[in-house]
Amino acid sequence: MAHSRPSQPDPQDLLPLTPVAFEILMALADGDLHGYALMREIEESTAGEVKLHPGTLYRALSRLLSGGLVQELDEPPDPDSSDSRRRYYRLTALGRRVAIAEAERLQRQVASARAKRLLRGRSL
Amino acid sequence: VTAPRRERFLDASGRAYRHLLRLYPPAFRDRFGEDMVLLFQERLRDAAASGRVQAIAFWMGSLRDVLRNGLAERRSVVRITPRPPSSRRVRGDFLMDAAKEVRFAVRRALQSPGHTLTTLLTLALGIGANAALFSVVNGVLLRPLSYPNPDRLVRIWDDAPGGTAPFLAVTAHNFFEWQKQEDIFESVGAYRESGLNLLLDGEPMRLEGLRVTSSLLEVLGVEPEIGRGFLPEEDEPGGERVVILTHGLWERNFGADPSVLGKALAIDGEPFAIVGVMPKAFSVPQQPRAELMVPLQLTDDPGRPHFLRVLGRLRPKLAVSEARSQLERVAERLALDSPAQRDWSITLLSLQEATVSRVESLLLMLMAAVGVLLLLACVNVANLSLAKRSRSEQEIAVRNALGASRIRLVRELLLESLVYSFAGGVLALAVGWATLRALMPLSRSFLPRHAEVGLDSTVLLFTASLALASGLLSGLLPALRLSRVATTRGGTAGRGRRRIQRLLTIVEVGIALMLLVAAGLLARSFVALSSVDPGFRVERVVSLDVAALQFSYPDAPARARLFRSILERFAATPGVESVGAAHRAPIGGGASFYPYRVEGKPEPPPEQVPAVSFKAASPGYFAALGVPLLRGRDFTPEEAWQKGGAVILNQTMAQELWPGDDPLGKRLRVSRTGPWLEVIGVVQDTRERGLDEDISSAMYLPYIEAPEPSLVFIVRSRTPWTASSGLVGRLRQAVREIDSAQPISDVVTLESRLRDLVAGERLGALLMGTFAGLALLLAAIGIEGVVACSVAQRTREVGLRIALGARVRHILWMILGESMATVGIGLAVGLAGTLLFSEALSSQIFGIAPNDPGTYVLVSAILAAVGALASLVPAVRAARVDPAITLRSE
Repeated sequence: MAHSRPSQPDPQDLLPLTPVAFEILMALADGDLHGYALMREIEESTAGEVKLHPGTLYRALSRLLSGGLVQELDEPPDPDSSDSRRRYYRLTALGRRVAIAEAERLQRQVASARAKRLLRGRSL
Repeated sequence: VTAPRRERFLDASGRAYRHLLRLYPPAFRDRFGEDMVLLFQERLRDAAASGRVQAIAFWMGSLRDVLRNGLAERRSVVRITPRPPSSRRVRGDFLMDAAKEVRFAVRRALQSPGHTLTTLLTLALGIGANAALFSVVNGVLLRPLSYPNPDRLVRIWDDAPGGTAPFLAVTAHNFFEWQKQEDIFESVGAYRESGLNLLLDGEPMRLEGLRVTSSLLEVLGVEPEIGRGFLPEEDEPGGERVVILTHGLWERNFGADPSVLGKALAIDGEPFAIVGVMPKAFSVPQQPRAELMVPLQLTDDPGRPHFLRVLGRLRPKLAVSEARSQLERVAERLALDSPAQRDWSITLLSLQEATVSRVESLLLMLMAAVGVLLLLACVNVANLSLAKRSRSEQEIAVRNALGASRIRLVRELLLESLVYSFAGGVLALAVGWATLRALMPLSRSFLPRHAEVGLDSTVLLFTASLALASGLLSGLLPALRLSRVATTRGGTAGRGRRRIQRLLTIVEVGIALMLLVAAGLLARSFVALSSVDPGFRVERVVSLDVAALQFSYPDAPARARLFRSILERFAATPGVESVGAAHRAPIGGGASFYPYRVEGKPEPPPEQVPAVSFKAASPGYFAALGVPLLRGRDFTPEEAWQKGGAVILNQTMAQELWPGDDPLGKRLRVSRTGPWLEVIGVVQDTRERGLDEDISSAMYLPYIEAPEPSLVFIVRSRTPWTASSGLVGRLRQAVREIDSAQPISDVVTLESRLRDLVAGERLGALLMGTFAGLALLLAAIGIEGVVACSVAQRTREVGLRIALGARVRHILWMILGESMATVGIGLAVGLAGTLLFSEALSSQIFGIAPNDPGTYVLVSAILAAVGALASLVPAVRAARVDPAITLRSE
């Protein structure tokens, strides 16, 4: 595939992710999505807090694509039911590892925020 | 927001968004552009679903989003990807240079807004006038008629002996003969105009209609859009009653419903089955107002007069001239067979020529005028640009010294003038569009193919080429001239340039004079035409048509009874001063001719039976029109409607037939065997066909002697028509009370009929006057600019002269004298040119000679006065020069 590269980069080198990039990776973690669905998914999972415009979304997507974190599907997963003009995106293995690494990084940050009593709640 | 409107909004938004995406680098756009547009539209649809405000908010957000991300993406591309080594470096440089020079030119133009505005306006008016006139010429003269193979379509007329009536309508007999000429024609069709009385939705109305042969559509090569054309058997006398609608009527009155086919339409009180609907843009040649067609059902009745309009489609590859000579030979052969046809011939013209020849010379004259006007505009722009550039001569000399090549300077200067002409061309389209909008209503009454005029791609191309040509024309001379400055020494350059400027001014004045003379002649001709006495009084008179319902009033006595009772009812209507009727309108109604024989004179050979234009009239016709009765009396009602037996002549006819003798009591008849008609009156001559036509013989028959199916009623009101608009309603009501199904139509004042009669002349004079006014203005601007420039350059000389004791008056005279010498030469050149071309005007003017000295003198005086005024302004400025300042300025 086009995205496979001779040497896989270390996920740690790519952190921290921009919030938008992280949201995209998380949204794609559940399955392949096209742009519109991706946007709706992000909006819903953040309860409307993150509102994306196409420019922002695709700029972030283009980064993720060129970094090999996301790949574009050659064919829509269900050619009958969907508009053939749409492009679908899928999380790559690298993308999944980067998302996990970012989540862990954030978790560590949250934990230290709790330790500093900046956040209330159950300590992990 | 309704659904279709929202879809349109979404579409338009998508397109706008796609344009916005150009802010992104192309590679990004190629990859994601489509998806982004799609996504944008979906999101916008969501937003629009929640409301208008949300949609607008989303749009604003998207705008910001695209702006920020697009530019950011561009920056990152620039930063990341090193610029690839260009293999097209040279060309790139050249383009870059050109772009830079265009920018430079625009900047320079903006630095002198006054000069730029003058230049742009000059070009916009010059090119715009051409665009407007060319749209007319293109739509009317150039574009082929909108029928298939229009070059094979011809119109044919009968041609009376001795060339007295070369464009006479055709007899049925001749039409049938021509139809047999299969060597010449593929098909021949005929029609005649006929107002048709309709009952539409219970409302009686009269529409313009045509009675056509079944072959007419075949000749034109047009099929109905739905349904069919007429069948040959429907065209036989006594055939089925069928009708074909035009698209407009179908849309307006039948809601474009395809199921109208087969339904009945009440025409003249009888049901006619609708068998077809014509396509949208279709009209029969020269009949743009006709709205429906019924079969002509023609019989070969030798007694019928000339009443048919005939069109033919030539065999393929047969030239019009060849067809003409072949048909002339046919006419000769027919003449041998029947003595009544002796010396009769035919006139055959291509349909295109037949349609437009009447306005061709007017349009070409106006086109020539705007062409000349544009030439003047270009000369003016060149002149102004030279004057303005006097200051940059120094700069150019310096740049040349620094190594700028001459070709580069020329290119730069040309580019500048092209920038002007391009912007001027864009403005010109607006000017042309506005001119056309103003022009079209004024030309409706006389311009053939009126509906086909418009700004189309041909006009756009023409305008673009004119803009390019004007740019080159007005730029080349200054460019060459100024770039030569570089190679000569600065001192002598000024003098050379001034000589060119003088030359250009001479050309401007000459052209302006030519246009002014043409405008003056047309204006005086129009005044002469309008002041011709038509022989009757048009104030407070309306004419209205009543065409008796064909089946309710089948014969002459029935029609006579109808018309008589309408006339009597009208006369009794409150507000009516007098009323009369004749079978043709007094102005623009055309003419009918009858041959006649005079009692006591030997029967002339058939080809020498004289014919005269006649009107079938009612009693009171002359009183209502205000035509003085010179001898005898008017028709009595009994004579007009029942007995006949009388005739009234105009003065010219009475004098021609019985010079020096009393015509009253003399008798004549209008057919070989008809009853003798006694001359009971003589009326004053009238000009009813056209104000520029000579008065000729005319006679008035009692209605019953020529019982035409329709009469035009002439109603003179006691008060002006604007104040008595209720009167038309009362007249309609009067007719309705006699027969509720009988419509009336064409209610027009005679004043407006008279205005329409001279509409072409009025428009010609108006346009030429406008062009001449523009020319005068341009010439004034040119003279002023040149004088101002020459004065500015001679500030030192003027200052020195004043310092040495010259009076202000002397300075004024010196400058004025120089510029007036230029104007004088321009006038002489213009006069010579005008005398050369004035003959071409003679066909367009009436009552005045094309070399009328009064016009020439007047126009020259105006031009000289304007020239003096235009030079006086800068001259006064120069004379106020303070010598101390000027001497110090060096």
